[in-house]
Amino acid sequence: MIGERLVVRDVHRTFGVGATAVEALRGVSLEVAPGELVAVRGRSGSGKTSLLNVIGGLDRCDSGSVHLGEREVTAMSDNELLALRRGPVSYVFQSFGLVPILTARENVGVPLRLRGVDPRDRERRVTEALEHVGLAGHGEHRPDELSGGQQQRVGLARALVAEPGLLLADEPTGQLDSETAREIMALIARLATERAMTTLVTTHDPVLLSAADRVVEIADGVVTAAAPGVRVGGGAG
Amino acid sequence: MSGARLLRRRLRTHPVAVAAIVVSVLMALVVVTALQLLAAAITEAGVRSTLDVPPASRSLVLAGSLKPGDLDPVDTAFRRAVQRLPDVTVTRVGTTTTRALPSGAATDRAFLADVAGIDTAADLTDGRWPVAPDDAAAAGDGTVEVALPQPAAEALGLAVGDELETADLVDEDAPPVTLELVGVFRPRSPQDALWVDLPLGLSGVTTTDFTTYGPFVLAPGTFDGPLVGSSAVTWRATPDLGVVGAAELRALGRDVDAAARDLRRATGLPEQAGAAGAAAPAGLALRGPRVTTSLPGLVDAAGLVGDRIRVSLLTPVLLLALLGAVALVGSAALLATLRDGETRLLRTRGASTARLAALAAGDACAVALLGVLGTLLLAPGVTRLAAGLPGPWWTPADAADPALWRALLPLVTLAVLVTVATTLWVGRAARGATTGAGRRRGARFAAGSGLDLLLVLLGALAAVQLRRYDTAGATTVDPLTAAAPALVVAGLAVVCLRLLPPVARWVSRAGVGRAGLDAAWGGWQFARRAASQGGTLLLVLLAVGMGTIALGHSATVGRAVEDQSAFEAGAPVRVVRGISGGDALGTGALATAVSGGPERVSPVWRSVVDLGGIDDVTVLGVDAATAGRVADPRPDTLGAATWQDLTGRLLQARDVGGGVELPGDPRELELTVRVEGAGSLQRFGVGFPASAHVRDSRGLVTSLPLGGLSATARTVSTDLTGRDLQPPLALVGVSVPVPGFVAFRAPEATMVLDVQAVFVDGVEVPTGGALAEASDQRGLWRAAAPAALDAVPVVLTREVADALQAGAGRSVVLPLGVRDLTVSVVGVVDSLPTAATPTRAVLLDLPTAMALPDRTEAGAVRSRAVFDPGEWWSAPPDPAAAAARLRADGAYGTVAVVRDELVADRRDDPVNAGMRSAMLLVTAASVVLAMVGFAASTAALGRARRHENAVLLALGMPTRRIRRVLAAERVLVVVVTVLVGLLLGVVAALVVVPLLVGGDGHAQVPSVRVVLPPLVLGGYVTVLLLCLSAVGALVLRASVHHLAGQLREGEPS
Repeated sequence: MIGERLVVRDVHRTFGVGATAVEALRGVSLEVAPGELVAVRGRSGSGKTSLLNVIGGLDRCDSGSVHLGEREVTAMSDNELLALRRGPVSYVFQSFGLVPILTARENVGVPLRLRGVDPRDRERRVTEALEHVGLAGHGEHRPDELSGGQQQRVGLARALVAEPGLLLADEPTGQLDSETAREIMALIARLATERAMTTLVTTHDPVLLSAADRVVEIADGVVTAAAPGVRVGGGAG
Repeated sequence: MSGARLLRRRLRTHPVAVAAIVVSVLMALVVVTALQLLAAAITEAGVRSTLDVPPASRSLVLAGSLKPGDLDPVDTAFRRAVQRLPDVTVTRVGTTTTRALPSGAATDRAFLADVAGIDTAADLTDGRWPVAPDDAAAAGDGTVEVALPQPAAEALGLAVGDELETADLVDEDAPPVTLELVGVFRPRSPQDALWVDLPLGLSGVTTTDFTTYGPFVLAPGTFDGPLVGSSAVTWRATPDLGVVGAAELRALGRDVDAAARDLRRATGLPEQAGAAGAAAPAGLALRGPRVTTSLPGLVDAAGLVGDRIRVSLLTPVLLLALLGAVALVGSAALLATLRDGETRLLRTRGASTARLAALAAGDACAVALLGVLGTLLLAPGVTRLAAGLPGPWWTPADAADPALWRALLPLVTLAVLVTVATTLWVGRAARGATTGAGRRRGARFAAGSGLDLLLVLLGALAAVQLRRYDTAGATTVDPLTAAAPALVVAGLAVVCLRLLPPVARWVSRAGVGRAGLDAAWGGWQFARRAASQGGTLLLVLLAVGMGTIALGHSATVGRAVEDQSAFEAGAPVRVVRGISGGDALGTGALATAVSGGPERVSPVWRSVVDLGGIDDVTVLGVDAATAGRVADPRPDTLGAATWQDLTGRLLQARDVGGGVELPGDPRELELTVRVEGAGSLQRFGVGFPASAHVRDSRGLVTSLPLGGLSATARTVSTDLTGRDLQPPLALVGVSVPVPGFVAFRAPEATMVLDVQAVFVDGVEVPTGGALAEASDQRGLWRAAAPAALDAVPVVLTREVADALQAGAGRSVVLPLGVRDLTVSVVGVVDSLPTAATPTRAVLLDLPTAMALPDRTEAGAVRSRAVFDPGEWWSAPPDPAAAAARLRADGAYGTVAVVRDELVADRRDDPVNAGMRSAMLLVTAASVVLAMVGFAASTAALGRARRHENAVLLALGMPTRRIRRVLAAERVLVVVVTVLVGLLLGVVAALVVVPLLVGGDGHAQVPSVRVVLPPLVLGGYVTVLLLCLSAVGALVLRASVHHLAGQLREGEPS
């Protein structure tokens, strides 16, 4: 699937009510071109994850709109949102989000199983995805037998296997040491380029921002600055 | 923050897990404590019921003979020796002398007895008790006061104030003794021990060669004068054991031994019964002394009952303690997991293991305190409920019961230790989880591999012990045998735990190969997490296993109670005649009347004989035609044959022979009879008692008294009414027994019995020469033709058949006392109902036995040997009404043994009822504990999977579907575990229930058959499945929500 244009307009999201209410997003607007890799920078609690959740349909905003290509995500029903996450939108998690009792292959196969892909086709695509992230020989390992970097590669393979148009990565290197983090970021950048995949990555690590096409800064629920990234990309991890 | 506030806050943070721990602890404490208290209560009841035997079975007896003047020292020594026994009653019977009653027939005798303590066993119906005679009477020339039992007074036509002159039997020149009747009495109960020493007291009259009346009860000490030369005296001390409880048993045993030892020493016997060696010189002038008592055996039996109950209840106690411990470990592990973050924080801030242990101990003590309070409030009430004891639910005195604290304190300590150990264990496992290897090790450790190991070890021990039990046919109770059920269940449960993961992996393979996620997901979770759910699975396995054993035990006890009652009663109602003669002659007619007709009752003749070198063989003569219908022994006790088949075989040879038909429903039979050549008899007085033998429609022959015969022809009559005679009747013979001394002085050749005419209700009946003559030293007879029969068909038990070396088809001679009987074996069975020793019995058809020819040495046929039935096996339409009528109208001493009453008695037996309550309590507790454990483990599971469920949601799986897959997986786990548990329970029940039911090591007759009621078990399993599923669904509902918020949480292991 070719990357899709992402348009976020004036999105508001408040958690709680009354005195304890927290305004996580206060009118965020953002546009990401197809195939563009955008890094969202901000401190902890700045609203990065809330923004990603609204874009991916894991959460609903109070006002504003999110468009992915021709589709308005914010107008979708729950079932349409679930279908969105099974297809055009994929997630990569800070804590990898792997199921500990499943092998790397089985973990990668989960999205295809959710889509009811034919077992033979599924196995072929899982093998390809693992090869893409450089884990061809580790398919039968369980997560606890892999290093942190390898686990995140499995997470990436799982995200890619569904061939999404939009990849949402929430602090994908948050639990990795800096060297591994750099490798993973480079891998994401390479894959995004190879597949012309629209990619939104949150991070607060300045070093990693160099991999992005563009950097958007969020503070207290509003976009405070946007700067072009210095994309070095293409280097394998 | 103060310790108390910290504690309060800690307990409030995770209310579900804390509640699970509290319920686990409370449940286990209450039920285990209640079971311990129950054991004490049942033991008390069991001991009392064991000691509740007829007085004759709990007395200490000294017997010997005395010369006049020697009575007092022995009497004093006896009373001194037995006074240590509780509430002891002492009787003394001096037997005595038999004197002629010159006013009666030549064969009438008076039986005199000198009795002390008769007022403890008899009530006066008229007059007063006799007082000691003055010297003149004692010297033999005065009047002696006597009291007589009512039947004897009536038979002799005596009333209070009458006098009777008696003559010495041996010394014709001795002066007569005049007896003055001052009182008439009636025995209070035939069970009273005194009547063992004075059996005539029950019937008043007995007829052998002579008719003896008595006992003429003299005042105590009468024989200690010159009235007789010497006297056989029996002292009997009967303690009241109703006041003896389990605590007093040991002291009672000591006192009994001391009393018997004192008596043996004083009478010059060896100190130990049956011991050889020189006896000490006797201090008392008692000749041929004997000291007998069944008290030590009784005390031992009561002690064994106590042991049996304690050990039997050990089984449910251990099972429940095990279940409680597993539930507690699960709940404590959940709490510790929930507190993982908190614990890490404390550690990073420098908390030592000791500090963490102290915090855990604080939690555990708070929970234990709640448990103790709950137990104090609940356990006494639960105990009373389970034991069926009266009283309020709770009294303040309950809290001070030392037994309660003795049971509670070790349990509480154990609970605290288990909680603290689990908390530290889980904490250590979590710390080790930073590396992959450490994590796996920790997970396995937390899953309880140590517990597994212990259970495997215990299971193996139990298996060894059970095998020993099997091969040794154990006769003693040992705690390991009682622990075997718990060990077997635990061992099997561990085996099942080991088997479950491979089975699950195999099952899950089907789902993994398919396109979708749901089946594969469920399969993966079940297969790969089964091991980590060991605690839950064990809990469910144990609960199902325990429930199966408890329900199987209850059903098996119910069945055994019915089987044993049916075996003891023989028929729905068994009527036993207490005494012979007098009013009791009508017992058969009454039994027939209350049964609703002769086709519903079988008269039974019973005798206990020695056969083929084994003693205690019960011979049962039944009317096989009706016995086939009224009795119904359990088929498996009869070998290959059915009861109908066996009674049919007994009937095959039935032929009642000839006789003189007595037409209609006759009321009176008259015979004109004389004894030819009886002139020589005249010098012995007139009248030898003759009997007419009348056969009824069933073939049963009854002997009817005709009165005395003489050389001149007389018409004598007998009353046919009130007897159990079913018309049409036939006269099959007339007999005149000849006492030995008469035969010695007047050889039989000189005498012939001549029956000249037979009248029925005044109308002469032609005899047609049917009654042939026979005579020998024993008597004179006229007899109808017997059956054309060589042997009576009999059914033997295997033990008797082996002893006689008589298989089916063989003929042997049975010495039955009444006569020797040639029998042919037509069947061999394992046991026969109502037999004293169930495996030693002989069954025959009474009419066939009565018709078998009995010949004199010369070959002539004697009249019939009459086997006088003393029992009637009856199947009345309404057994309770029949029993009530029998008890109201039956003669003195008549006993109605009612099967349904025996069943009710046995069901209410404290041991059976208590064990049943205990097992059902355990079942209920096991269901609750399984639910608590399952809830805790499902909550832990829900928590552990929150993150991966959130990932599934992010990957596009609907929450509903996530919940459904989780629920399906839990249901799969529950169903597979419950079914495996059921299988385990069935195997365990088959192995251990017989041990529990027959826990005293004594043979259960008939043997215990394990009953596993499918409907009840199905219901139990269904309830358990529903309960667990409901709990699982509720907990899952609470744990699968707001998943998106879980995405950023750290990955739990």
